[in-house]
Amino acid sequence: MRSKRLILLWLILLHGVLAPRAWSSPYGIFITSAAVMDAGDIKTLSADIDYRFNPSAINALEEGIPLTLLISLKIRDPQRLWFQQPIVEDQRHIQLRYQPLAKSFQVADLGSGAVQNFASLATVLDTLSRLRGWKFMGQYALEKNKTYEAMLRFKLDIESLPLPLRLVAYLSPEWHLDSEPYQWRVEP
Amino acid sequence: MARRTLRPPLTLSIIALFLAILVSLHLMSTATQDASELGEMYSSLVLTNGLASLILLGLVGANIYWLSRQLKKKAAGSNLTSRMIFLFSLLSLAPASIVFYYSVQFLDRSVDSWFDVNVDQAMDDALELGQTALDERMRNLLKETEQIAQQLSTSPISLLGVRLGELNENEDADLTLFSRQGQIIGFNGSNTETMTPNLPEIGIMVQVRQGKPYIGLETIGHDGLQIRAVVSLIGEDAIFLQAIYRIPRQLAQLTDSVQAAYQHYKELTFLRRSLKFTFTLTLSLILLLSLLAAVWAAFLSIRRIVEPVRLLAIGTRAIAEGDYEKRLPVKDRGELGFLVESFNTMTDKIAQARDEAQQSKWVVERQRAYLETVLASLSSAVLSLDAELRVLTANQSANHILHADFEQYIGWPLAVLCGAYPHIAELMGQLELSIKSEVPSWKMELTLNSPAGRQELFCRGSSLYGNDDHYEGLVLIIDDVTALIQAQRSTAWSEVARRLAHEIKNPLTPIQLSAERLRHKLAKTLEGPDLDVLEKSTRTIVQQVEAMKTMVNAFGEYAKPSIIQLRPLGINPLLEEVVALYPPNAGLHFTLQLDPHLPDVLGDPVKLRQVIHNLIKNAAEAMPQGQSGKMTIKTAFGVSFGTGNIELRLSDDGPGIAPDQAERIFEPYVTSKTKGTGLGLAIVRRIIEELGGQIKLDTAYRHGASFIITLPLAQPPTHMNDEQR
Repeated sequence: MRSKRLILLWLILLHGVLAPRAWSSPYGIFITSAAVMDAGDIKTLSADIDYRFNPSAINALEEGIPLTLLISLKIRDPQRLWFQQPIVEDQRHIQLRYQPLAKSFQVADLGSGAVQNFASLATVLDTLSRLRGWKFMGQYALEKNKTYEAMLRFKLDIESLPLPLRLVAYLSPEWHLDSEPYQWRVEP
Repeated sequence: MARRTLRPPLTLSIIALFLAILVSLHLMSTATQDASELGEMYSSLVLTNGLASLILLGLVGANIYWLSRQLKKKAAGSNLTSRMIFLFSLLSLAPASIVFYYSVQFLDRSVDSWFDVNVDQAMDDALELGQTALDERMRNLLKETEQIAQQLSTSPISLLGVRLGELNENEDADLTLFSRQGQIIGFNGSNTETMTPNLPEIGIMVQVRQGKPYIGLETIGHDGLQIRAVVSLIGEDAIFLQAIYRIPRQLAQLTDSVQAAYQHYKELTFLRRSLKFTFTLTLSLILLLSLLAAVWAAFLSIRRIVEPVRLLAIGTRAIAEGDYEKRLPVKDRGELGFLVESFNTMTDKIAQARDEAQQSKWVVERQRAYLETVLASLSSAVLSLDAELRVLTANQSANHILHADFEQYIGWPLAVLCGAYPHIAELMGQLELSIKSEVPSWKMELTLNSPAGRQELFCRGSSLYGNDDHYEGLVLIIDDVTALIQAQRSTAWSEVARRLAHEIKNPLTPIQLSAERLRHKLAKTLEGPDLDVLEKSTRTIVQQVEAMKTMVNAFGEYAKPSIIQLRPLGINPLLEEVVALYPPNAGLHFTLQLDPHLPDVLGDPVKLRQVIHNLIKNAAEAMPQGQSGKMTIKTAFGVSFGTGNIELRLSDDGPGIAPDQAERIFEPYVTSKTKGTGLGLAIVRRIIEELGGQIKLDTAYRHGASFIITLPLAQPPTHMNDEQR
């Protein structure tokens, strides 16, 4: 009886450590809509996102700590088994950083190297909230007249934070800004 | 053994564990250093080490639980284990905690020492300096851009492109004219890297549309800087002018360097607390992991060290409970292993000694039993006394011969026994000198008046000596020779009777015949007084010869072996039958006290009648002349020495038998009477003995003579009820 209770306590503790999302937090990244558009020969992804960074993250950004957003897209064939590779799997790393000299913010796409300057954080977030024309990789594998399941995720990459901040970020629920996976059907 | 080979040696496992922990901790420590490539692995390392700590904590917890169970059960060696674990933990925890405390303190101070208020201020100032330098330039450039815009605003729209080229003579800026919708109206510049001009972001446009010109610094590439100015043409709300000016390379590099240093410093300042936390956590994890690993290793090794002690405790307990077959496994070849081996040897020796002791005890027991059997079956009484004359042992025959219950007095002084039995006091009185003389051996014949009558005893004494010739007591061997002496006497008398019959009876007839013939021949020739003399003399001779013949015949009767026919018979009817023959005027009055439940005796009715007649006659003859007496005849069931018998007692109220005659009353010619041959009682005794019984005179009876006859039973009793007892 006692050992059972002890095991239960351990499980609760372990769950608390490993799944901080269990604590409710007003901060996070919320995908409001996403769609795959046909733009002639190629397909692009558009999405609307609501960013609610916690004050610590904003503070860190203003103090010169770059924040990296990880955007991942997966499109899978529902007829395939769950453990099989998705048909489309693409990722983008977007980095936000502050320039103290220019008192401006920069958004850099770490994949393409494109950099954009913004005068305020509000315009940065406004721009980022409208993801448009992402020519994702692997789209040619999609067949016409077939239905696929797409899943989009946004997350703050804690592993890209400076080492001393990582543990704090892992242990603090307000740093867990990952969006819920946004799922929808795609018919190319 | 097979199990042992499957398991790796303990020391090897512990070394492997410590190596693994060391590698993991080293990796973590390296990862903590900023420049390290292992930085990416840091989180997983922390997680791994945390999990390892959890596992070790579980192991240590399980071990502590096990130990507490052992302690509760008071298992052997558990106390020692717990003490050693406690000591070991204390010894490892104390220095580790001290090192940990000072390390954290040092870390704290080191991190704090990186930051300084002056440096902080200098950094801010440097940045501000850079900004001021650029601000000045930016203000001038904004003014310049506004002038261009003013000049352009006077030109018609179609000439704007040409006018733009004229105004940008030096080509030190990229000028772009664009509409509200972002349509490019004109461009002039030296930057040909991008095909399309870089238009301002939406935030800038909002500002410009509100009538506020924009000027801002922007970073390009790694160390490049540019200034972007956006203004609207005066009067032409829908057209905007953007000018991008390049900052000279040297200035850009300088300001960038200032910015990079400022940024790094700011980052560090911001991460100050996180840095301390990370370092402390890493250090704590290292401490925790090392301590837990050490405690767990301590548990393993101490359990192994204590194992022989535990085994020894179990073995000792087994020996205390009398299990000498317990052997302990020898796992260790060290000092403790030697101890276990010695224990096994000791157990062997003890078991051997115990077996030998049991063997000798068994031998002693057997000899003792043998001796007891021999003593019990001896017809002689054997008594042993210690130096203080306490009774040590007495056999069955001692009870029988000396008429005392010696078993009750084993261990008691002889004086107590003498107090309980006066006849033994009398015996010991006679033996006192010999007993106290302590001579090695002596012998003595004596007569004892016991409750059973007069006894002839033959006593022998042997002194007992200990190892150092110390006097330890004596053994008394007493034989009852009463029967033997009586038998010798009666044999002698039988021989006398036979001789008398032979030597005397034969000449009697010629004597008688000669006397008669003498009278017959001389009677005719003699007369007067001579004839009287002859008649008187020959009559006397014949009468005396007749008397002698009667006497010799009686002797013959006594000496003659009688023919006895034994059969079971009831003693009570026989007695009634005999007594009925004596009428009331015969001189004796009979009182019969007969036990009605008596079993049959084994006897010859004719001989028994003769015995009873003889005794009655004897009593009648003993009565004073002309007086009548009383005779009581009593029968009862008796037990003597384990066998049942019938006791017949005939008592009269006559003058009795003088004590000096009592001893020899059953011998021929011992009589107190004037009449009779003196053979009556002798014959009675011979018959009784021939029937397997006994007769004795009750010397304790004071009202006359009392004879006790015991007769054997026809069948040995299988069951005797309490009443019969």
